[in-house]
Amino acid sequence: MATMPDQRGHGDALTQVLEQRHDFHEWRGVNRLEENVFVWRYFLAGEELEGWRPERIRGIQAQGSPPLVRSIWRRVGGEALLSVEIFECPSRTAAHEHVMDVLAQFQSPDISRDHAGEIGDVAFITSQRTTVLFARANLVVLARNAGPDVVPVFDAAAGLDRLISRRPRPRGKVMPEISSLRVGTGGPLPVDAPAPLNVQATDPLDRPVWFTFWSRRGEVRLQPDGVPAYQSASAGTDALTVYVVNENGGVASESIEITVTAE
Amino acid sequence: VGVVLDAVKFNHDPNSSSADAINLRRNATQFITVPEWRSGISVNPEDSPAAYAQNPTRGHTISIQAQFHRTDPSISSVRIRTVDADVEPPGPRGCLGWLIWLLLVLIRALTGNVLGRARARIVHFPPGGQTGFETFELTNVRIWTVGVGLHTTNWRWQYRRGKGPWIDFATSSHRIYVLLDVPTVPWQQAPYQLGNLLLPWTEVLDHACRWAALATTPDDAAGRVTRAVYDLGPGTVRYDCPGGGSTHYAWPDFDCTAFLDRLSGGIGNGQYVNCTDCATFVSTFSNAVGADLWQSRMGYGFALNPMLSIGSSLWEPACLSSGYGWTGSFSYHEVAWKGACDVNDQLFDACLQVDGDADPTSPPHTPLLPTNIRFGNPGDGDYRDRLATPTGRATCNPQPATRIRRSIS
Repeated sequence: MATMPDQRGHGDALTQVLEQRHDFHEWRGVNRLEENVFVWRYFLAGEELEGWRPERIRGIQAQGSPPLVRSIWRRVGGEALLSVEIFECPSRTAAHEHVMDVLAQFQSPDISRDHAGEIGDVAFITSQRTTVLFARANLVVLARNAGPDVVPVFDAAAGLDRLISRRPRPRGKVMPEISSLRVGTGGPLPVDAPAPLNVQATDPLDRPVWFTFWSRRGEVRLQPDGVPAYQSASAGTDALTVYVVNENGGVASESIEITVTAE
Repeated sequence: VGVVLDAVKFNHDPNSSSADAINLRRNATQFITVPEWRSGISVNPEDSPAAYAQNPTRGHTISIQAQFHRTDPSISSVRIRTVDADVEPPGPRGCLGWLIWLLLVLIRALTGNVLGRARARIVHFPPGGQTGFETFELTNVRIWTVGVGLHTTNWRWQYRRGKGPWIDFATSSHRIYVLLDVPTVPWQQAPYQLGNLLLPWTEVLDHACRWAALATTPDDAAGRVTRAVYDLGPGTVRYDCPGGGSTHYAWPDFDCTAFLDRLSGGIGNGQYVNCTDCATFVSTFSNAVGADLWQSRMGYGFALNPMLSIGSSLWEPACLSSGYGWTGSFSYHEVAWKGACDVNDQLFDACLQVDGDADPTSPPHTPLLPTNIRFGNPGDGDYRDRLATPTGRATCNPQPATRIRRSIS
């Protein structure tokens, strides 16, 4: 009887073709921000895209794929429809590998890398800017037209990129509360050893919250057990800041200093 | 009236499909509980769905189970049966009357009762007055002769005391799906539980059984589904020229919920589709009625002959004149494919029509929707030659390692 093989890594041969075509080795792991950013448990609240209102937002967890937020937006005062999909990958490098997986879902060979550097750590854009695929931090964003009124989607995608690549600014009246933030056991950390993050935050109204971690020396990544961990490749001190955001844009933040030793 | 019908089970043995209905759910969020028909709850046929597979039931007696209670304490046992509640249309009178009669007979044959009737049997009422689920054998069953379809069974339930007259005591309506075989992967029959999203969905069968109506073989069913999916363009879906021909419904899994929303007039994931989407629609919906297709790719990187993309009436290599930067080739292409998904295996492609004449590279063009067509080697005149240009055929190769059946959400 038929079986259902692993659905990821669909067509390794195609991925190899695409890696060569798009010079994957040149941009794999590239960070165009001055700090390392990691986004965790991201969701869309419906107010992220100026000039667009959400028709539908869903969280999708497909086996073997990073968590996905799938959304359809309608242009305010118009009929254009925009599809925005956001994949939350375990790390920036994993996000770049996932960009290749997304590119393997395009039949056209004519989507090309955007060398202007206007958006994302890496971006791919179709002619007329009617589709934009970019990776920023550990997120992969695919913005496309979904309706008959075809419009450029670059501005909407760039707006999302700004939300990801800037430290959240507090707005709204009710803010989340961070009850715990600790890295490892709280003491000095060895180089190149992932230290689990213990971060706990709640919203006073029990609404969902998402997290974004910012650091200069080390980097936060999601471990296979689903727990984010901090890791640094060099010794020294670092400051890790976590921002917790609720669906109304209320933001709480907390920072801790981390010492990384060569031992 | 003395006797009340409480509930009816069609899928009374979830571990078997040979003498009863198969395991079903309604969609991603709703399960179908058994008994499918409940007094006071089930009103319309779709409230009481059941699907039967022709292959495993052939040669077997199909049965249902029903539960009753008495309102007359003097009744200790009765004979119970069902009869078809839909009366035969009256005989024709005049030309118009004959046409109307013919139409009614056709409609009845296409969508009417295929389960026949429940053979009369004695039912004993215990002291409490309510029976257990009593098994009734069905007679005059037509599911093996009608092909794939979507039918309504309306039954009148009757009881009889001794040699007395038959008395109507209930009516029930049921949506009956006729499938060629038990749905194949990705669909499952086990585990039969709420959390198993891969139990066949009746909301998929609603479309699949209409699209494949009257098909009597898996290839016939898949061909009809392919035609129906292609015909969704341009009103419901069209090829994704502005998005680079990217997948909107079938990656990472098949977003069947969104596709069903689109089919029912909602936004879904939007109007655009690509080949992966179409291959997934065709194979998943065909497999729901008993076909056995994969989604599999070919490639990589090949120039295209003129074609009619889904939703388009313009013969051209995909999207060439759309203004979105296309240059007349595919990185890959994906279809619903049989067997090993290799050169000698047949495929179904609802994403495009190829040129079916002797020269697929130039006008005039003869539209051919690829259904059950061999992939072939260059020069064979099969699918590969019709899709790819003479120079592109060398890099348009089957990629059987990519064959999958996407899971469903």
